[in-house]
Amino acid sequence: MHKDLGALSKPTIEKCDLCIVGAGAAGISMAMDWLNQGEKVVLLEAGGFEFETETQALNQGTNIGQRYYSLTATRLRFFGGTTGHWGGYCTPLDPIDFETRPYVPNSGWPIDYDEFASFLPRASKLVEIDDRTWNLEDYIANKKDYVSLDLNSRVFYSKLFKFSPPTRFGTKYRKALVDSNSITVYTHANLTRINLHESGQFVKDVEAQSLNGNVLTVNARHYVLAMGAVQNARMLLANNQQQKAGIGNAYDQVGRYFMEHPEVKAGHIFLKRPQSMKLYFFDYMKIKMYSELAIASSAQRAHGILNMTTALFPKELSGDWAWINKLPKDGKQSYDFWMKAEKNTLSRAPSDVDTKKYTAYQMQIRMEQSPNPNSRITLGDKRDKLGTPQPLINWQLTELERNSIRGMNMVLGKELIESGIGRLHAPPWVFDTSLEWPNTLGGGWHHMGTTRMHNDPKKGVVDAHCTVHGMDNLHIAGSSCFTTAGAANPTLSLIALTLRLSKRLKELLA
Amino acid sequence: MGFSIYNRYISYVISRRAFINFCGFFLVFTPFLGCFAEGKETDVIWFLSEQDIMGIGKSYSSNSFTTIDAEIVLINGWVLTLAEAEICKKKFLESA
Repeated sequence: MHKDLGALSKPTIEKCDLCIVGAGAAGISMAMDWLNQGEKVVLLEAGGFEFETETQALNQGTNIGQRYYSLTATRLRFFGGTTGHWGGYCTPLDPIDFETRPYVPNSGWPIDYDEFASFLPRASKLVEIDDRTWNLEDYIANKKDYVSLDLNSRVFYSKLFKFSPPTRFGTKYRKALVDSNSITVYTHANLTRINLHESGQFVKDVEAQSLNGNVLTVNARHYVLAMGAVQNARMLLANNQQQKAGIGNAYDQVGRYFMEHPEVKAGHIFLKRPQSMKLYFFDYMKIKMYSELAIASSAQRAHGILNMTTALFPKELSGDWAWINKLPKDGKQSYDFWMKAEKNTLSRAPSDVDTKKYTAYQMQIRMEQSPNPNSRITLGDKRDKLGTPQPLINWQLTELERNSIRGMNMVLGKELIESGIGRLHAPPWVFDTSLEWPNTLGGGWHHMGTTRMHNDPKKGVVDAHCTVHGMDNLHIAGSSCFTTAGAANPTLSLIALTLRLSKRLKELLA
Repeated sequence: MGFSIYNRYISYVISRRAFINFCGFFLVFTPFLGCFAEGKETDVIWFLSEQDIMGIGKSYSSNSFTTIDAEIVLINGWVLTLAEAEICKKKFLESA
């Protein structure tokens, strides 16, 4: 059923088994897993069913670190969350992302890849992609015009990306959730308070408010925060009435290790002979799959390089665009930009051009950011309309990112020679790490790591089950739990992790 | 026995013909093989402009490059073979 908090006439109290805060990819994935389960679930969404400028403004924050996008543009605050402008890229984290790597400080998840991967088939269904394989060669076995570059697979390989339609979760799953007798969807319900029991070990209830002042109290057996990496950290820090440093923050870990996927134009490759490059051509909203060149795990370990991939765009067509210089900063303008792009396509390499025509390709790198405790979300002095302190975002990169780009370009350049495929050229900043990052450096709007998973409460906010350390019934869903970020667009993986948490909650509530 | 002799005769004819064809192929095509081989002087032109060649030649002549391994170097943002760097150096010195 659906209730609009903004339309309720008196303060309301809901009792339920599970309260999910946030109806984006994580929150809705979890709620869908509780359809017809018997337990009563309340799903709180800050916005309505459509984009609203006034609600979107509640995402406002201030950037105090590396040049970054506006926070009102990067996240959407209405039913379906940021899937409302999601590009649909799907590829899972790699096994190496879960490993403790000596050359990556603070790496190593408390769970292994296989456990995570066992939830990928169900996550794939939710984003409407097929789950038959993630091996590129198997996937393109019957597609003769898809040919991967013949590189040594122990050094570089072509990584498979599948494209969701993209699934707009708010549209796709609204009816199922609203029609469900066991789930109550509240819109215009912004989380404002998390009240703890006197022991400080579990949540007693949470409060939500609409912009017109209506208040909802939810009393649940278990609570899941699924508001995105910025908001999850923000609300834990802001709720400092009972625990001075904020909830789950006894060791000053909440908000730290904020990670993005740095994306940057890093050079060109020149093919010796023309070949079909259809596999690598990106045509937004038109293609079902494509590939990027990825550095193999063995080469990452050998050279001490972070995980990364590079998309290849024909040099002639790529121009000198960069998302960070192109996208509107205003939330409404940004949303309109994406909706227009969805209708008109936002093509950087149209699929109807001759894919054998080009021999020079621009490299667009998407890379893992090393987990850095100084890259963080904190609270500022400004407050939003509901009185909650606005976040400060301090995105910080390290020398390891620069050294990894340099190393990757050297390894790829060498591999192109040895495989007889071509040559590589990169601009000065790539090889001279004393130079500044170029102004094409941005991120994928992938917010990760502010409530990271770690067995040690001194090194992370949630445990291996995604339960906040020291709290019995407060859990976190989404990419804020990522210990490391890998180079994979996070949506598919965060859904898999959410389904894993959901399974755990079913055991706890049984 | 007769069958075996016939087989040997056929093998002789085939191998003789194969040998003649093999020699003929090289007689006709040897002058063109250089066009397909790696590392020939003209090869850098497929990815380097004249300006790139001169710049690389100058940097290589003045030892301004990074060695990646025994065969591969980094010069002016290009990852090249030593042979390619030598070609650029030669062209640069010739033009000086």
